[in-house]
Amino acid sequence: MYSLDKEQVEIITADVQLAGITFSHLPDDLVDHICCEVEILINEGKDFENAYKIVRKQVGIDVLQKIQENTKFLIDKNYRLMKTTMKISGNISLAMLGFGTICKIMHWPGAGILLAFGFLVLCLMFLPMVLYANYKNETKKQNLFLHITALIGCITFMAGVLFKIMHWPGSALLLMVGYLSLLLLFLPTLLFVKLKSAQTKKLKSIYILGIVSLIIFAFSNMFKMFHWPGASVLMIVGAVLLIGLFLPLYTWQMFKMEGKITGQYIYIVTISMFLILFTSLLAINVSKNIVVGFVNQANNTEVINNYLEKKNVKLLSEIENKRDTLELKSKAISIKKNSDELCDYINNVQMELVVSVDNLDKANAKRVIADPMCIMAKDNWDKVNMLMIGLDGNGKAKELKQKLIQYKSNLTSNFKENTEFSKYLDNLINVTDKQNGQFTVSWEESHFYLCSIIRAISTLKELQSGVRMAESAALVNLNNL
Amino acid sequence: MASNDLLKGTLKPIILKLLTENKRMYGYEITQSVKELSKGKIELTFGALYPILHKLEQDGAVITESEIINNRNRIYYSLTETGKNTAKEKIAELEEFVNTLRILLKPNYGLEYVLAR
Repeated sequence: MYSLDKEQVEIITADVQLAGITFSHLPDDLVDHICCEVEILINEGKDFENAYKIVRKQVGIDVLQKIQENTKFLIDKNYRLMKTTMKISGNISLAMLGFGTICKIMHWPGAGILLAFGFLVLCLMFLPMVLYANYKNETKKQNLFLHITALIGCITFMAGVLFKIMHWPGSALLLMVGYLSLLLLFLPTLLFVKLKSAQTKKLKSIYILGIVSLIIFAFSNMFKMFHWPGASVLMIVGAVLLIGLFLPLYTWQMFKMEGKITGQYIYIVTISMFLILFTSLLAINVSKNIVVGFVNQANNTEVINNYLEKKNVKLLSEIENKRDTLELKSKAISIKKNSDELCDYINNVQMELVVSVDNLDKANAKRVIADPMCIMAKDNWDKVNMLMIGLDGNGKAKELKQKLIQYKSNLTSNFKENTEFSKYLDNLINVTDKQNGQFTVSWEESHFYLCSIIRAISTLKELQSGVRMAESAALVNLNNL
Repeated sequence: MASNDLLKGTLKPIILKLLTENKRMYGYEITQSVKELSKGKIELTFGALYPILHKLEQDGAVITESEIINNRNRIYYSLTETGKNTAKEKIAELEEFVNTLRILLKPNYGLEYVLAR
């Protein structure tokens, strides 16, 4: 009866260790078992190499891991509980997020609650469980830092996405912290750990390439989200490195090493696809039909505005000619003055929008807002967002709302006893917040949040229209007094 | 060769039965004796064996001792006092089950009866 020598046993022991078998005396059990099988084959006349090759085909790394998994599952109550919760919470959060997204897209009620709870379950149950389970399965326990950074990064990032979708304040900060901890803590630690475990130089350079391109890509994402310049260049470089260089090299290397596709590989490909899809969707363009629709609307409103302006001048001169009460005259003139000021202000806002989106000078900007078809980046929304909403919600839209409210109260002060007029005015220039399910969406957000410039211009022109109509109504009222 | 579905619940009693008849056994030995005794009809894979052995150990039915043999640790499993009782119960349970199955498979109820009609 042949028995294996020390070195041969060590080879087998090393392979069992490589599979990450650590549970109790299971490594001893498995090593002994494999040794026995190999010895039998050697007794049948094979040499060690061939015999071990045959045994390994039956009990590869995945089989060994499966045994450990089954053993843990059978024995450890906590482990069983954890795995079950992981499965259930994962499925629940996925279902909630899926339905929430559908509800959000279809504008059905309940989207907010579904999304919020889906994210909560994902962040507070699923992600910690997954990372804990991964950490427990890990052979080397010194990688605690890697898992903690991954946990913190993922949770803050997910919370940031949720806050952004729900329009809650603080999303920018959460996203920033999430991004930075993933970019500057998690990925470098991952690189460090991977480099330590890499066996060949080739593998080392592939890991470096992969993680560097991931960092570049993630930075481009962050730049895009915060409207910093250079996002698109970074994105292209990152995506090309990731898809064009890293994935093929990694695929080739993995295939050569394992001879088959592993779960980890599928995981990596899926995540890369998700990342790239997600970012490309951020930069998606608005359909042309919709853009043209807004252009037409803006043009029509412009025509109406010109007509109203002329009509109001005429009304004012009628009042001035007909009446010689000084009080009425001064009232009419101040109404006209207020309206002109507000319309000029709105014009300036439009100019600023066009200037920031198309990089035009003032003269050209004036020409362009008279003919919105000439705007180059009609579907740009991030610069509109910056200008109108701003990072802290104190953009131009807020100022505009204040001015509209001030204008309305100035007008109504002329006709204190006329409640009909103030009602008419409120309908004409409505600046109330919208109630969307259980959440309130402010007037600023419902008009200018994630809004393309062409829609913003059209909205602003409509506001001018409202102002001119209000002026007209006020002047008619004065004339009838 | 018996199918996995049929084997599922019977492995634990089989292992206990083997352990009652031998003072102590190691994993590979258990798989081999199952193979020999069943003339190759039942194969106890080591993927199924070790989870059950560890579970029995955790339940206090078996204890282990480690011995260095041929340059490696060999883990021997043997029944404890409680293990012997568990073994008796489980084996009796399995026997009764097999007897019941036999009744169900008697000619009048079994395959031959169906085919004869």
